Amino acid sequence: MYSEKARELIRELPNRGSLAGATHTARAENPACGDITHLYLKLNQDVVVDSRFETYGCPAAIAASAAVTQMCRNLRSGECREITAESILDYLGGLPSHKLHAVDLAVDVLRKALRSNEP
Amino acid sequence: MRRVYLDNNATTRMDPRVLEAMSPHFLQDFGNASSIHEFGQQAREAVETARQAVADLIGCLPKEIVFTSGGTESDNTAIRGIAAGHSGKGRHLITTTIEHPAVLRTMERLEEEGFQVTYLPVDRQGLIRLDDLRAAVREDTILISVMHANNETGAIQDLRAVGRLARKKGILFHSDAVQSAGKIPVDVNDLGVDLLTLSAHKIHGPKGVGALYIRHGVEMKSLLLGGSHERGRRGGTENVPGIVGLGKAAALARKGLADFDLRVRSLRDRLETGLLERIPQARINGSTLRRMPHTTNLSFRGVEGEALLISLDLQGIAVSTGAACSSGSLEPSHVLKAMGFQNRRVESALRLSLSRMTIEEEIATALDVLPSTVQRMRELSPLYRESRNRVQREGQRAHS
Repeated sequence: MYSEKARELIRELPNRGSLAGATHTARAENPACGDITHLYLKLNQDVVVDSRFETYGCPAAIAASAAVTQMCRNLRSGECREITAESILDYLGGLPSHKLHAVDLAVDVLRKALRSNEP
Repeated sequence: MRRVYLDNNATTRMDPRVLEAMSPHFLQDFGNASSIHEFGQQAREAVETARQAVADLIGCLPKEIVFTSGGTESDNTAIRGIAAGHSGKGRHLITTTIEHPAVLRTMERLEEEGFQVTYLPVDRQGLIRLDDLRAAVREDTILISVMHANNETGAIQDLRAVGRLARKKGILFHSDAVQSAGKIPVDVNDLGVDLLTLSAHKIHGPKGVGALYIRHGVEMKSLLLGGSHERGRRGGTENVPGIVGLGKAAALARKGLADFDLRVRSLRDRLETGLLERIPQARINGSTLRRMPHTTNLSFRGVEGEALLISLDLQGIAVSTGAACSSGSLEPSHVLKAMGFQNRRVESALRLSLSRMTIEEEIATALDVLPSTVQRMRELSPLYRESRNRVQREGQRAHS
């Protein structure tokens, strides 16, 4: 069973869609299960002021991506880098045991997005 | 929230009349059907009445019915029982790639034990080809096991043709009819089967009880050893309330066969047509000609089925999906894969299955909720966006 938080994210799909004016973007894919996530971040003076996601994948992958967009809001890029699989799981209130891998895709896309605009 | 249940191939709601028939056998008429006192004889009478009802449903003699704990046990008993009883004649069995795991895992176990199994492929409609079956038959073939209706697509195999071939070659023929018995006419003599599996909970009966039809004269070994219950073919005290429930469910199903075909088919068709009209790039998986009247299997391009399932569940609609992402790898439906569909189509498959208890309001709600949910999931899906962009680019190229 999914936690109440995960169910809320799957139901509401907050921060869904692409983001015009994004300063940092990335695409990540889990080749084993075929899930695909796009993350769009808009940073202003190193602070995430907007974040959006698009995900093709299982409910856990969608919940984890949505969680990342919420967790990184108003954080500095350095603070975003401290978001881990564990912290996403905490935020979600856990995931079904066979779905834990879904947070790895969310961490992966976040790290890639943060690197995407590095000089 | 109004709840909508469209997962009747997984299980069905028990008919209150079934529950009513079962109830006295828990507290009042609780005897062991093997006891010779009155408690026991009342139970025996109830079991035999149920046996007659199940026999009537599939056109056989009551003594050809063995009660089991359900479809899985019936499949195991049929296949292992024939393999053990006929291994002197041969050690080759034939089945299909789209069987229920109760058949597939049993066949695999037999392979580990030295038997040989041929798995027949299916076409894009989910149907086996008789030529493939003919080619697979060997001198040492002892059993052909072909399911009647597939649980995922509803595709109905031509059992009569399989039965004729099996009879001609002198090979025993088993069919898993869990998804068809009680929903469409199933007559063991007409179909030419020697063994047939059925289950109570797919026809508004209780879980944990089923039956195996064994044609009179077919020799086989028992799977469960114990007392001489079920004419020595299945050891273990009879589950009297469950058997009574199966009997009642079978009687009700038999009476409602014509109505099922008319009313449920009409609801399924309305649902399917409505979804195809309202949702672009939706496709039916499997045969629409040889198909159960209560099942549809649809793929929605660019939407992951499990995500769609949970989104629908959060809106009170229960359906089933063709694939599950588990521990980092995809477990796609072996049925849709066997039909030759690519992973993306399999991943986006949804099975909607109705029953005689499905009401028009449920169909209306599904038609209202499903299209908007698919649309919402597609807005979220980079895969759908990429595919739409590709189609647009190709369209522009074609026009330029």
